[in-house]
Amino acid sequence: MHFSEDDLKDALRRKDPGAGFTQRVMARISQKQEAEAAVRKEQKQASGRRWKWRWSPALASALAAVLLTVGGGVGYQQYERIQAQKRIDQQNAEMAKQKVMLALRITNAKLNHVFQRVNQSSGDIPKIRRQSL
Amino acid sequence: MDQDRETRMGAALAQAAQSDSQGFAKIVEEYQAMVFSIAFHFLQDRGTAEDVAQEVFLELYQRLATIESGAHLTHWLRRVAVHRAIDQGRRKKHRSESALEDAPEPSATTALRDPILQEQLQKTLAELPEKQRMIVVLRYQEDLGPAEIAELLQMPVNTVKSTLHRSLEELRRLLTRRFGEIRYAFF
Repeated sequence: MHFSEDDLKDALRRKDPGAGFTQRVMARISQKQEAEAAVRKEQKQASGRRWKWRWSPALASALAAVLLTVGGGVGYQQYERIQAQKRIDQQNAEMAKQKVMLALRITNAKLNHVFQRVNQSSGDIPKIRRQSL
Repeated sequence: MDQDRETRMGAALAQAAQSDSQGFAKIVEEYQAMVFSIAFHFLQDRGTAEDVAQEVFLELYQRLATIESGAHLTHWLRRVAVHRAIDQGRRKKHRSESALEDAPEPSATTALRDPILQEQLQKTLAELPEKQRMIVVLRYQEDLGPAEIAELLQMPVNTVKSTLHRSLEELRRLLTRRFGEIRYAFF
C-alpha cells in the first residue's frame, strides 16, 4: 500500500480538543487553587495544634506541681490532725493512769489501815466471828 | 509567522506571570491544538488525550515563573506533552481504535485528500511501538527535523533517522495487510 508524506501530514494534522477546552482548563486551575488553599489552611491548623502540643508538657508539669502542692497540703493537715489527736489521747491516758494510781494508793492506804486494825484487835476475832454468826 | 506567535505569546506569558488569568487563557487557546494533537495522535483516545492536555496546561500554570520566552514556551509545552502522552500510554497500554465520528475536527479547514486512507493511517499508526509512533507524530504533525526530535526524546539523531525509516516501512506493511483484509471482506 502506497502513501506519501503529504498523506501522513494530512492524517496527523493538528486537531482542536473541542469547544470549551480553555474554560475547562481554567476551571481545573481554580479547582486546584481552591484545593491547595484548603490544604494550606489545614496545614496551618495542624501546625497550630502542634504548637499547642509542644506546650502541653509544660502545662502538664504545672498541673502536676499544683496537684502535688494541694495534695501535700491536705496530707500535712491530716498528719497534724492525727498527731494532735494522739497527743490528746496520750494526755487522757496519762490522766487515767494517774487516777488509777491514786485509786490504788487510796485502796492501799485503806487496806493498810484495815490490816493494822485487824492486827491490833486479833484477840477479838472469836467475838467478831460470833457477832457475825 | 512563528516568530509573530512567539512574540504574542511572550506578552501573554508576562501577563499570566502577574496572575492575570486572561493571559493564561490566551496561551491555552494558542497551544491547545498542538498539545491535544500530540496526545491524541499518540494515544488514539479523545478523552484520555484531553486529560493529558489539561494536565500539561495545569503543570504549565504551576511553572509559569520558569518560562523565559515564547520560544521557550513552545519547546516546553511540546516536550511535556510528549512525555506525559508516553507516560499515559504506558499506564493504559492504549490500543483502542477510534471511530471516524469520534475523531476530533481538524483545526484548519483544508480539503481532505483521502478520508479513508487517513483513517487507516491513524489506526495503523496506533499499532506501532511507542517510540516509533511518537517519532512519526513529531515528524509529520509537528514538522520537526530529526535533530529536534532527538533532543525532545533524548536519543541520538541517527537513531531517530533509522527509527523513522523503519516506522514508515512498518506503516506501509501494516497498511497493505489492513487494506488486503478490507479488499478480502468486500470481494
